[in-house]
Amino acid sequence: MRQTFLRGWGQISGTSRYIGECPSGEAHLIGSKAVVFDVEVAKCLFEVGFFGKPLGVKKPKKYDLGRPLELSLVEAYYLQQKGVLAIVKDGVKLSQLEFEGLCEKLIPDFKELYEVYKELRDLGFVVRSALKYGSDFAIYRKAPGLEHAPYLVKVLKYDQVIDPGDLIGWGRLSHSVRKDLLLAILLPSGLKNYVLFKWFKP
Amino acid sequence: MGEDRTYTVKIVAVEDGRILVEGDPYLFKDLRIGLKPPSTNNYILDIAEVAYIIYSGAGKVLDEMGRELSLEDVFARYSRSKYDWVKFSVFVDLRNRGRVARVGYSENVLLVEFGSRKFAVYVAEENSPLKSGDILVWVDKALMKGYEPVLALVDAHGDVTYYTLRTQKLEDLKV
Repeated sequence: MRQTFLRGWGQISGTSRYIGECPSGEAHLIGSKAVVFDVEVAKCLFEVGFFGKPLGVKKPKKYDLGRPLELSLVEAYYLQQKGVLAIVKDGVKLSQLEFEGLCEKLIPDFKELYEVYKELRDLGFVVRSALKYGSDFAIYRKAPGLEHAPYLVKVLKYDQVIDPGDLIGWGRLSHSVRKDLLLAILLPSGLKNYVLFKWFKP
Repeated sequence: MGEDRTYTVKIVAVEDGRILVEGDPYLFKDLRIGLKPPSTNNYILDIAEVAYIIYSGAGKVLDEMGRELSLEDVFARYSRSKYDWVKFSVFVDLRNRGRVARVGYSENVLLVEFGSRKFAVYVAEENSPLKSGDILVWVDKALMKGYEPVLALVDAHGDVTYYTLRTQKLEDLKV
């Protein structure tokens, strides 16, 4: 029943699979991570949607997947919203509202990050953290392993003050790793505008 | 400039940051600067253009009293906007790259055309914060006027890095 309901969203680009194919499970909140200990659920979430990362594996291969899966709070919240995961803290299941409140306490700008993450995921992109590139997300049109992430995403609020020096840094870093930078700017209305920011030699 | 000739430009008046000058029309033509209102023989220049006459060595600039101005004098006496110096830096950088920058439709914009492309170059400098919403406004304004928006970021040492700005539909990024 859930699987039928889930079709129409969550299709992973480059595959014909849906996260609704995964058995429902629990993620346990530990600090600012949500961990899926059930390896069947963990394996499915990673295989189908490249959510999270198998514990202790840098570049996961198929045979590495029988391990607990570490999810970011943004990923865990998305999967909770979609009805795939229940979030458990200290043995108690959290409601969506409780978990959202917790995420907002733990992550500055959680709401904005989630809004952009959700839009990208719902459109079928694989979305991964891009902290190592100085951005919020790296997005894949196909999947990690099949391509290098072609785009980095930096989430900005409409009235957010930015130093042009930061823009230079983001631009330079993305260019040096041969990726394009997308500035995701959230309007007060809740709409999002994306601006492709690309190094240019006049 | 072709021949060894130093032009003289005299400032006649200053109004709303626009500098009215008189001088040899060949200078304005050679440097491709200034705007000539039809009703007068004078030219309207932006401060970056006045400064460029001195910087390029193409001519001398005299004030209203006939005294010769240095680059320093020009900015000390006629600068009205926080963008004036940084815009001049970008103006010079573009000219050094062989691109003819012209003054744009607002205080931090230069216009550049090459090939069939027309660019509106927005100028911003390190340590002079801007709002992310400004970027959207700049993109919209440039597109509305038929230009491709470009951001010129000037670092603390005056080095300029350019970035194109393009609104992007996520759907178009899909394979």
